[in-house]
Amino acid sequence: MARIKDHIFPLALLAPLIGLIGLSFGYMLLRSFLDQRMFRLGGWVGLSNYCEVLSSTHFWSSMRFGLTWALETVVLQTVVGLALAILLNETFRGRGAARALIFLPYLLMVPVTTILFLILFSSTFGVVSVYLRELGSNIFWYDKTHAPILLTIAAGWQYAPFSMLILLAGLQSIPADLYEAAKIDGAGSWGRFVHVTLPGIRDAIFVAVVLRVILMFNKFDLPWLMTAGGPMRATENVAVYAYKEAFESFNLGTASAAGTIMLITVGILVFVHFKVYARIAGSHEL
Amino acid sequence: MRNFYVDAIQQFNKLNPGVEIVPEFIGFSDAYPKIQAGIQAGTPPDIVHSDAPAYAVLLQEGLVIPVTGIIKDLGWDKDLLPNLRVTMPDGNIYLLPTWIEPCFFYYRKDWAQEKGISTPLRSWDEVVAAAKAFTDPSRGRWGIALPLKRSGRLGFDFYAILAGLGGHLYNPDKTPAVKTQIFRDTLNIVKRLVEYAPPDAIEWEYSGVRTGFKTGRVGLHIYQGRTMSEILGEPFGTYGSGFPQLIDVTGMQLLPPLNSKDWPRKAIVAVGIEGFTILKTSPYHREAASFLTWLMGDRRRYIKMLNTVPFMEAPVLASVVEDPVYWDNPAYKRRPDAAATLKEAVHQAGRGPEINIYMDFYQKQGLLIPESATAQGSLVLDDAILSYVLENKPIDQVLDALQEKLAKLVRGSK
Repeated sequence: MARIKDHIFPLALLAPLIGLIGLSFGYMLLRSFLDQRMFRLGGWVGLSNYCEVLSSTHFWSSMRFGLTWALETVVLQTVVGLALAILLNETFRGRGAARALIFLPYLLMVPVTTILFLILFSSTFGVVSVYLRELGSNIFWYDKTHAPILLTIAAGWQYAPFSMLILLAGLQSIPADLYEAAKIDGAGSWGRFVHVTLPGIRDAIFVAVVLRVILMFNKFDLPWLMTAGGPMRATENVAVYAYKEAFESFNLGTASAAGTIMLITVGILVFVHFKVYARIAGSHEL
Repeated sequence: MRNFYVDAIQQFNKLNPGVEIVPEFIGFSDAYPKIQAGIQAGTPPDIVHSDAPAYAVLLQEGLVIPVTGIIKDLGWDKDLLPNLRVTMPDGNIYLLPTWIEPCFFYYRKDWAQEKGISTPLRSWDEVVAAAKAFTDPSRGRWGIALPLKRSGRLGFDFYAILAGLGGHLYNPDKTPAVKTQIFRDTLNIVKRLVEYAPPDAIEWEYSGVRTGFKTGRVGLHIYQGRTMSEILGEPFGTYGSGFPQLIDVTGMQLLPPLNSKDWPRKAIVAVGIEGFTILKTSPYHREAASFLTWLMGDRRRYIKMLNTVPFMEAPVLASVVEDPVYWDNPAYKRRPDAAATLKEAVHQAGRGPEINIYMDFYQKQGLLIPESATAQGSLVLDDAILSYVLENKPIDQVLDALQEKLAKLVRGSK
């Protein structure tokens, strides 16, 4: 009885959130089994919408891009975030101001980031593009080859500060005497980084990476505003694909199916995260 | 234009204490998502002012009510340019047109003179030749601005040319009509022109093509009167700072036919019609009708509305087209030759044998196919054109895919 009572209060607090999420998901799930094109609601079509989505080459290319882009941006965010965290973990004059300044990109709204990158990289009038062209470069940042790279750079620039925050917290939890001990043992900077820092923030890296992968996989605003998933679908992830199904093809049925598949994919990623994390945590205890 | 509407609406609200019109200004590309979301959520707008694609989607779904009564109350049934009375098979008109936006071909007269190109350009072969002659990457010059970003603009321009050459997206029975020689010819016109578009045209949509022309990057582009409005600028009663260095060197003509011997008789006159629709879901039909009748009923206010952006928005009323008051505008006076081209376009659009309104409209049968505008709005046309001209997919494969997508847009199709 005491055990059940222990669970009631937390569940009661979580109930509204679970209800809201459940309602939204339930609505999307229901729509995914209906023929809903334009503004009208058709009948039950079973798995027809899922078959249409899963047999679409555009869906699979959006899934491929979505996963690879999520991984690439997170690697960039983590590497840059770690470098910044190490820098800001040092004591120096103006560290507080530096932290605030470095965190600024994360606080910007995505439309602002989009405009900023347009001002810098637009092939017609972008500062960087025009300057590089004077130097003989022929890079068109929004073409099919470079748009994915530009999108990765933008995502890295905007979200690295968030990774920095998580990793900085991890760095600050490493006892200073571990570094002292390593110094005494003759470890240089690199040795201390490899044998003290990295193991010390392994959990933080793991949390940062997995959370960011999930968030970047779901990202709609940045790809949509920067490139609208183009050119020629080169930067279209599943979120953009679902949006286009809903609001360009006017097919809410297939859009809901794509959204459900996306949710299942994220669910698998979260499940894997918790399983792997539990295994790592278990091996620590041993 | 926004200021005009804000002022007019404030005035109406003051005069009608029991009614409040609340305007919401949104971009064209946001129109479908917003309206669709509003309808789904049960909070749709009551009145929509839009271009063909948004109107077509609403019409296709039976979501708008006739405005034939409003047109009669305004006395516009006798004054509306005949071709702009887009009547549906039930005999009703569902769009209260406010203005038309004719499409023009702009060219650099100085570049043409330098290269010995005679203007106006009387055929698409001459256009391609001019684009080729203008292209000189060493001088940062390219032939033509094409909107190669997937935004709807490319499909829009493509449709203007296609319909002007006699093609359609749909047959009268709503089967796709893309596997025709005219459709292939139009695709190949675009493909030939892409060679002379700058590499960054891949980022260009609506404003990009105008910027490319105004910054001297390209010598040709297709656009509505907005380009001339922007070149003239505030000093001549339009908007923006203007581009005085371009005022006298910018040529403006109608789009050419396929063969030069058909110029100017078969010059392409494509006009976008924009106007008001009243949604069936609105509980305020009477108030909406009252507002629209008031707004459009004052002739002076109507002319003032059009003249907030001269060259861009042209009248839909025959009497206004012939009214010297409408043409008594610094912008038209500064470029009387361009004003004459605008007048010719409006005459042709209003009274010519065929009307090209960015939607399949079979005039003889009085049959409007709204799915043709929906197709443009859903960017299936852009996708098809880009896959042919940029991805170099085989034309038959492109047309097969397009045909399938167009068929899906027709109500009741599987």
